[in-house]
Amino acid sequence: MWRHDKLHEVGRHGRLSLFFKKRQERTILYDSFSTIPMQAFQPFYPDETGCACTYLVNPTGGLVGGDRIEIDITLDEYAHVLITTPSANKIYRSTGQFSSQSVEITIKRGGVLEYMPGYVIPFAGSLYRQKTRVCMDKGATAFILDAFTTGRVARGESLQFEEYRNTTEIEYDGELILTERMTLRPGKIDYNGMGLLEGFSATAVLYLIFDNLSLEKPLISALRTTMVETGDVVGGVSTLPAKGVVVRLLGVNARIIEKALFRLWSVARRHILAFENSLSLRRFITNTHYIP
Amino acid sequence: MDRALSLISLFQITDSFFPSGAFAYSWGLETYVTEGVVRDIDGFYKFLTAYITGMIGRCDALFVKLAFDKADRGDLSSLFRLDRLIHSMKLTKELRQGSIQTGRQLLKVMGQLHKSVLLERFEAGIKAGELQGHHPVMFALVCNCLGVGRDDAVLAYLYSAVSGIVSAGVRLIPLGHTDGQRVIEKIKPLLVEVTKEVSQLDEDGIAAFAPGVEIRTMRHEQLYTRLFKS
Repeated sequence: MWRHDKLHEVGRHGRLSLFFKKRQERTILYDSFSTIPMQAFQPFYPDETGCACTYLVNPTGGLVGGDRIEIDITLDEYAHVLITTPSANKIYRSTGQFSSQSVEITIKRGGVLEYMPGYVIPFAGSLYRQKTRVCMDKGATAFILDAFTTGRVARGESLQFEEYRNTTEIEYDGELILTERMTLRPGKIDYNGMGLLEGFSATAVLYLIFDNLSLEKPLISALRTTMVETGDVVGGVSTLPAKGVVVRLLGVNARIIEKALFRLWSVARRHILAFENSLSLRRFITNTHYIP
Repeated sequence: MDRALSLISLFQITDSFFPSGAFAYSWGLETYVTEGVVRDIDGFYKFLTAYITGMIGRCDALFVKLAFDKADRGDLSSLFRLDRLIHSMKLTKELRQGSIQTGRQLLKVMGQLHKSVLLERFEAGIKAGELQGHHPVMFALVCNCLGVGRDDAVLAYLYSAVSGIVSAGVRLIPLGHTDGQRVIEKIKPLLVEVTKEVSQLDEDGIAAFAPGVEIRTMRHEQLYTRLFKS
């Protein structure tokens, strides 16, 4: 996908590959491979569901121009995995080279992936391309979160990145059921205007993909009830072209939006996975020191 | 085909009298009006600008251009693929249903008036449940069949989108008819600019970003009373 001339290669090429398998009552990390700067923590099991929880970690703290990350996650049949990150994905100022992250996810029949990474913070002067592609077998389930802020908002830095390009594609049983493609280039367009970000500095979308039409109505109604209407966050829920539901949020900052997401995620777990959310993800609970 | 005849065909399909059903949708505007965010001509113009630049400028309008080129080459499988791609990009019920309903209406009416293999194949595909018939793709197909130029088709698509929303705005806000025309007058240069940009783009350029509008089309489903469909 990206061809680089070795002599002129600036950034690091980090690769991470994870393969999860269900073994008896638990999902295990059966095989993994990684190169600097990407790593995954050994799975831990915070509850009785057998769900393997893993943090994706970039110890260098973020991506500089030229860095490219390729992540490959496969869930074997009936594996259940929760993937998150301990902090935001920071994209540093670039002198002209893009940073990129490409995530390829495969979920086999009966597999359940909760992909809840931290939000992206594109710093002033940054250039970023992100692509997330999910291929699901019939009978697979996925929660896919995608969130970003407009910059290091607490420092008054907002919409000063050069380019933010983001693509998400989901295929279900061989059929393309969801495509989201955005390219933001501040300067040309006032993204704070009505209809776009409306002055909010954080935005998130949560896709809930599942193969059970009868869940749709009660789920949508529960998500709408949960979406507390305050001036700090606005959002909506609707049905996707096939196999699921989408939740979109705008919030005054990342902390507010993650609080709302945590409640919505718990509703999704209760309705789709049929268990109460007893997880206490650090990022969701005590996330105050992750505010950009 | 005669240029004047093509041109008058374009007037025909963009006329508000044409039964496309487009006037039953407000594309998020009704929610904004109900919330009290859009209440005058200035707010309405801001909404319309966001809808063009964020929502359809690099998406629906670009799909018209791309589909027109494929229709020119009789490339049916690419047209089918574009219909499936745009379907996967319509992530709220109102945006999706509106695009499908108006696209199918256009195909249904014009398919009866003009013989075209491409139109017939799409009708069959929709009947078989394999295709959706999204409006931008159908509009491109019909324009191609009528001998309309590609960039004229894109411009006409944008104009008909604007005219539909202005008609909704006039009824919802409400605005006077002269104010409605004032908004159209003011937005015209943007439509020309978007058409120029789109003519230079290929499939890689497809993009949309209007979270505010999208959220309002989602919330439209929940509005207690509404004039428009979702």
